[in-house]
Amino acid sequence: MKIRLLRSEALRNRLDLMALLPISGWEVFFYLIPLLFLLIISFWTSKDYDLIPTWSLSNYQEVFSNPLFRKAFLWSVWITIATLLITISVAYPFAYGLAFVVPKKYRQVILIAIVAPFWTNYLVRVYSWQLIIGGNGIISQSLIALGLIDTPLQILYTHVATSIGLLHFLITVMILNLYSTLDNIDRSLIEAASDLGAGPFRCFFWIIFPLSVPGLAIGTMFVFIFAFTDFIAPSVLGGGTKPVFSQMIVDAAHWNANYPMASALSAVMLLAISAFLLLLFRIVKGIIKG
Amino acid sequence: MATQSYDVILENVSKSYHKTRAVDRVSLNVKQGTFLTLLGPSGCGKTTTLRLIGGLETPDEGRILIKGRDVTHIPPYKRETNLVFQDFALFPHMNVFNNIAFGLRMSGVDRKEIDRRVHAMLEMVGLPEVLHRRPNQLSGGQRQRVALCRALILEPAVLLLDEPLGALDAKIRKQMQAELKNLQVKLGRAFISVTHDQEEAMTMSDEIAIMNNGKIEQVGTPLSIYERPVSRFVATFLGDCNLIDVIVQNVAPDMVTLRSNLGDFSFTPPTAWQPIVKGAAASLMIRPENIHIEEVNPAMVNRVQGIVSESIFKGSNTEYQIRVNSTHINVQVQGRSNLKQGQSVTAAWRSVDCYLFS
Amino acid sequence: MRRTGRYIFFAILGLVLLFIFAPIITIVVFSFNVDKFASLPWKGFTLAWYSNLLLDANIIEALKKSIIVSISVALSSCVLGFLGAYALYRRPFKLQNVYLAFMISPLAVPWVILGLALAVFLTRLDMEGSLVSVWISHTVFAAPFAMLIIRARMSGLDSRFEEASWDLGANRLMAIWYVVIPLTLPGIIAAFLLTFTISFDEVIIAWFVCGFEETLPVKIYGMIRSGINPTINAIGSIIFIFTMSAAVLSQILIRKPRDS
Repeated sequence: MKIRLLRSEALRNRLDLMALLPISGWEVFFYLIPLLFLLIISFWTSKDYDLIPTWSLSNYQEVFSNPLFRKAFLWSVWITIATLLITISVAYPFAYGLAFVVPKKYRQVILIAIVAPFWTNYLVRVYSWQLIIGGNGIISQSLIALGLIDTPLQILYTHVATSIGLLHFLITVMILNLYSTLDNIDRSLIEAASDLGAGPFRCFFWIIFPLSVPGLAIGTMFVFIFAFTDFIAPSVLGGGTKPVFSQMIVDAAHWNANYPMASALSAVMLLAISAFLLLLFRIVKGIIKG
Repeated sequence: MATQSYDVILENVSKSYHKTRAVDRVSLNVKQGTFLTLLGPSGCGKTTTLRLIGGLETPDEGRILIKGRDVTHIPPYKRETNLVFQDFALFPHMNVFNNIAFGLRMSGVDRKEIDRRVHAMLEMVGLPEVLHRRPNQLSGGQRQRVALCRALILEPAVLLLDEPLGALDAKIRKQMQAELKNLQVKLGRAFISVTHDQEEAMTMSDEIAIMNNGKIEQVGTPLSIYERPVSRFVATFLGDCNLIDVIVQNVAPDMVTLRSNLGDFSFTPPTAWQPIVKGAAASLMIRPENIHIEEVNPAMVNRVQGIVSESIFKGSNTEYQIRVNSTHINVQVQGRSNLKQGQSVTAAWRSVDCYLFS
Repeated sequence: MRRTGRYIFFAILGLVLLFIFAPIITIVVFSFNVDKFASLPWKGFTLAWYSNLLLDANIIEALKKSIIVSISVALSSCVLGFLGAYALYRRPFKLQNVYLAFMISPLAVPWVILGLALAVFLTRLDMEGSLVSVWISHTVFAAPFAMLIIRARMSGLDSRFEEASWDLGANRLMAIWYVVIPLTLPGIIAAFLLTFTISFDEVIIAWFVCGFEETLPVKIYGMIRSGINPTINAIGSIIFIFTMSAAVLSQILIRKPRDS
């Protein structure tokens, strides 16, 4: 009787873990393998929509030598860093105010308010910025009507427009991350600092800010990855003149059907992102340690 | 009145939250170098009072003086008080050294001096080896000592402690009670502690202030409050007691006679007793340990007859519940005792072993 | 000094909120505007753009496809996610955090790259350019997401309920059907709604793998690239209302159970 129970126990345990198989299998077959395959074909070349297993570094050489790609890469870096800085500058005070200044009863409402715009399609929201900042847009018309400017605004199809489109989404992400971290800071730590002689500014510098770094880091990670890889905001709002790196991938794949090139570009993009994440991790570790 | 001999003075201090008065016109004088405990049930206002002294709350009315200086509207970082928080509030992102050094850093003390003083402080509490650890790597008792160091290193005029032993295991608690008391005596500074544990208060304090509903009911030494409570609340809060409703028959300097439905009793008032008018209703309080069942001698003039209804053996003593007419009294007998349930007994106490208040 | 600090905060609050809300307000307001552009003053109220929607066969087709795909994605994700959550709940194992990190990674990998990889891979398997390929691709990131949500809900489930049912004679499947699923149902429904919403909204991966079977977001992308078109406003407003309802509903369900 006991032996049978033990065996059924072992069987039960095995059956339990088997429930992990379907989802794991799906991810391995439709996620891991495609990505690996992508890596493989980055060493191949294409001709007339066919993939030829060349096994060379020619694609990568092209990525690093072609000025078009280099410009696009630098442009992506520039937009990303600018967007990151603006996002943090706006989101931090907002999140701080929400966590420490705004009375509790209004907080939930405001949180829902900043999430609400996500309830419509990202595309549609990016599109709507055209209506707002375009030459015929709301801002332009208002400024003309008020007599502040003579000619229609030329923000659209510039990097400012692209940033606005990205910012709009990313500010909310950053605010939510920062708010959750700031809200979780034990208030008695701030009181203790105050009790030990730290005025309001020093309380922020020594206690609040260091403890907010984890949330800031996660937010930064999201902002970076999104700003660096999104091609929709740049293409809809930024115009075609200064393409971003992700656009290069899309062009290579969709318009040129040169998948090996597209995968080489993707690999480089992933490398860049990994490098950044490592750097971020190092910085955060440094702040936390000292 | 020489305000300099008091470390802390509260004058008619009140504080309300959302229309409830957490602290209601509280006045308190804390003598120099005393260990005072604010004692009371939860919600009585003791923690709020402590925080008012520390500057973490501002009173709606009244004044607060520390060492003669009016600090009512001065923020906590400019007061000569330091608070040891209930959960210690050690900064999780700093190690022990930096936690303790924090206050010194804020006052601009130079590095060498900070180093010396932090080391000295940790030596004094016996924890030199935890210097570089983080709070989450310390035990509860260690954390408490670090929190103490952090506060004491600033040499505050008054050290405030919010339920300092609440987060500790029962075993360590006894040890820490003694350590805290010794520390306070050694430093000679005023300590104001908040607790709801009356045993802790009795053990450590020079003086106890019992609070209820935002008001201070009584201030005094543990002994005086225990033996001479001014109200039913104080009497019942500080441990078991028996309360008999009596009517005062005759008041003489050395003897007060009383009448109750359990019999006539006499009470010998202590020296500073507030006299009660003849004919008034009052409460006679007798502590269970002062009532004798087994070794009754003639000096115990107050007697009642009753029947043992319950007995609880507690190890070092035995508690009995004696039914007397329609009520019962609680008696505590030291050591072993073998009275059976239903047994008829005489319970007696001396006239000096009880207390009368209105 | 403190007063002015407060006013500054509230000013920043207001400006940021205005910035965040600007698009959604624009979309809704100007979906009723006669004029193509966001003209001020308003040229006139009309429901034409909405009726346009209903008459445009292409858009309705795309909408149908989106709904079909999203429901399928939600179903497959919830099934896979539930099984995965259940396995982890019953038998946590040592390297489970590494495993979970891997499973969540599809949400962190840039979807441009994911879309590209899936397009290439599915083409090799001759499965590209259909709604099936969209379904497969979306499930890749939706299933782990569903697993997370359901797992969060399951962690509050006392394992003794299931054990009690075994004790009373239920076999594994019956126990799961009669005990585990009902008690985790709010989490499952929340996962369903959220995965549906994410799949319904997703454009990048869908764009890569759908070929000619355009889902609604892909169709919208095409419309946007052809120029200003207020029909987009109308679509956006309708999506907004539906997504909002789904989000509100899933929020109500995601909250921990009250003691019944």
